[in-house]
Amino acid sequence: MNTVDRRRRLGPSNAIPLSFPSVESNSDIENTSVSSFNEQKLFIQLSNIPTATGSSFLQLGNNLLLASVYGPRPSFKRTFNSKAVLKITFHSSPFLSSRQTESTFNNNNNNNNNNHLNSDIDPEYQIVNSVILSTLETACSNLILLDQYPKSSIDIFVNLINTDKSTKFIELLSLIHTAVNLALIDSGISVKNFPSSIVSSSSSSSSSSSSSSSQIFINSIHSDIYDNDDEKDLQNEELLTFYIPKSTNNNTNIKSTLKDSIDDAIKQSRALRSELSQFCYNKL
Amino acid sequence: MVLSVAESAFIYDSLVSSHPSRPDSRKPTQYRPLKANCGFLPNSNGSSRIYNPDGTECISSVKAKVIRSNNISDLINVEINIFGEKDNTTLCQHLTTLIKESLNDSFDFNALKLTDKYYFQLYIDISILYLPEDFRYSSYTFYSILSLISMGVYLALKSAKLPLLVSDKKDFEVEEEPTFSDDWEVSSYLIPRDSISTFQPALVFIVGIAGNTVIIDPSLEEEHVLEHGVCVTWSNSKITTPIQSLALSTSNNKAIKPNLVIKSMDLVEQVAGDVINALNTISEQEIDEFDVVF
Repeated sequence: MNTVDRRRRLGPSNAIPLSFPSVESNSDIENTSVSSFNEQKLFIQLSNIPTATGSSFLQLGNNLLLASVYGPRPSFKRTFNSKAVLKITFHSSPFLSSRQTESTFNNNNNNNNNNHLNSDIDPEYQIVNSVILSTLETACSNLILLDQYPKSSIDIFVNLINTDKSTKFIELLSLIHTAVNLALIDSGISVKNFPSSIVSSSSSSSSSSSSSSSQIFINSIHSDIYDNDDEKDLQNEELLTFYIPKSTNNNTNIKSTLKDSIDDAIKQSRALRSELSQFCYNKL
Repeated sequence: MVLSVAESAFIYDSLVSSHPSRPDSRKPTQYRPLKANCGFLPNSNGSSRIYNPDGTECISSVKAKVIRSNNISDLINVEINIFGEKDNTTLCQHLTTLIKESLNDSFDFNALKLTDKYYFQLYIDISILYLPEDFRYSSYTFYSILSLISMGVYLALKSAKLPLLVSDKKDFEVEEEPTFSDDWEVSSYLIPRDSISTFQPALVFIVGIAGNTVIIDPSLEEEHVLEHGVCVTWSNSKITTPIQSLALSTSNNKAIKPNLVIKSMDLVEQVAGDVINALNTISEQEIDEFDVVF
């Protein structure tokens, strides 16, 4: 730096310029974290928003999520509600530059510029807000005992703070559901049972799980009936919501593998549930 | 529809009993009567009008535009407009997503390929003209109209005609825009009708679940008491994605047993063939004057 910095644009003479660590190449990240998505450590913090009835903060890899539950609050609408009204809002941070959130509505009305931006994203990785909202609405209305809160409203906010390119949409979906589930548990609002959500990929060749098979997302609770036999007890699980996205392999018959993949998902879901409930129990 | 506690309990009990009976005495696999017409909009390549006995009416139109692109994910655009609903509600967006996903999954994009460089881009506009008053201010979510919308789109796509290309198909080296014949008599169907090997657009079925009973095409009374809804997509004679659980109304929601998901797919497999045959028959009826429709 030979030029004299008369205007002190570079700051004081003893200033050290900011340096950012170089970002690792994408391909490396994808390979490692796709395979180890389920083995990654999950960081959970509950009750981090003091004004909310219940809230949870989740971190899994680069995915940061914040869910908060407000209510039951009195609803001052003119119509009489015999049960609580649920309102769910999903918000993803505007600076999520690595991924584009898809808004179907804008996409349709817009010119080609927008389409071209979206086009290079693999549909498996595209965040579809409407799927998130509709599955959340279904799950929460099935989970919460809304009858117990007449003339009131419950608001749930989900904020996606960060994510990365290597997390599939469906994996993110299960994280979002986990965050909401934990926030609901934290809030103390009456729910039917302890929920847990999981993504299971039923793969014939499990070695290349990312490429081969159909995936299923479930958010489930245990029903009131219990069975000592583990295999029979799988039938006592109840699905709050489920979603099967487009499979990479079109030739497989979804129905033939569905039974096994649901059973598999339920087993994983229960494993996760036992850990989560242990965690919540320790917090008490 | 606002049902009293006694009424809804009666409907629910008769649905979940060992011999399920529906309020309008339909079989579990039976649809309500539908009316449909095709190809009546003069300004669009394909169109359909389909309506339920309860007054729900859906008009779909397919328009084709020539674009220079090879990006297949852009080629189908769907927009759904529901009377009295804003366009940016979750419902509208989600219906759009589901229809678009199901079509993208099943479509044979070679049918849209025009030349080496040019493709047809499809704009599918769907308008729900009327929903029964009972839908509003009640516990209903509107997701049950998905089945009607999907049938409307199917018919519109089946009736869509594309003009005959008169310029050269192999234009990769040549800088020229495609030109078409003015004569609509020589136009061809987007989805060819004669051969058996052609693809079929996806159909989305809505299945209602109460207790251990699965029913197709739930009516308003039934939706009020149903515990769960499942949307299942059917294309090219097999079940495909997206498959998703949907709450049809918020009055009596419960979680769903895993074996009922399989059961609802069995139900769709039973009815899908008949529905497709019926829709194909409708789409092959020729309409000369569009007055006939109204």
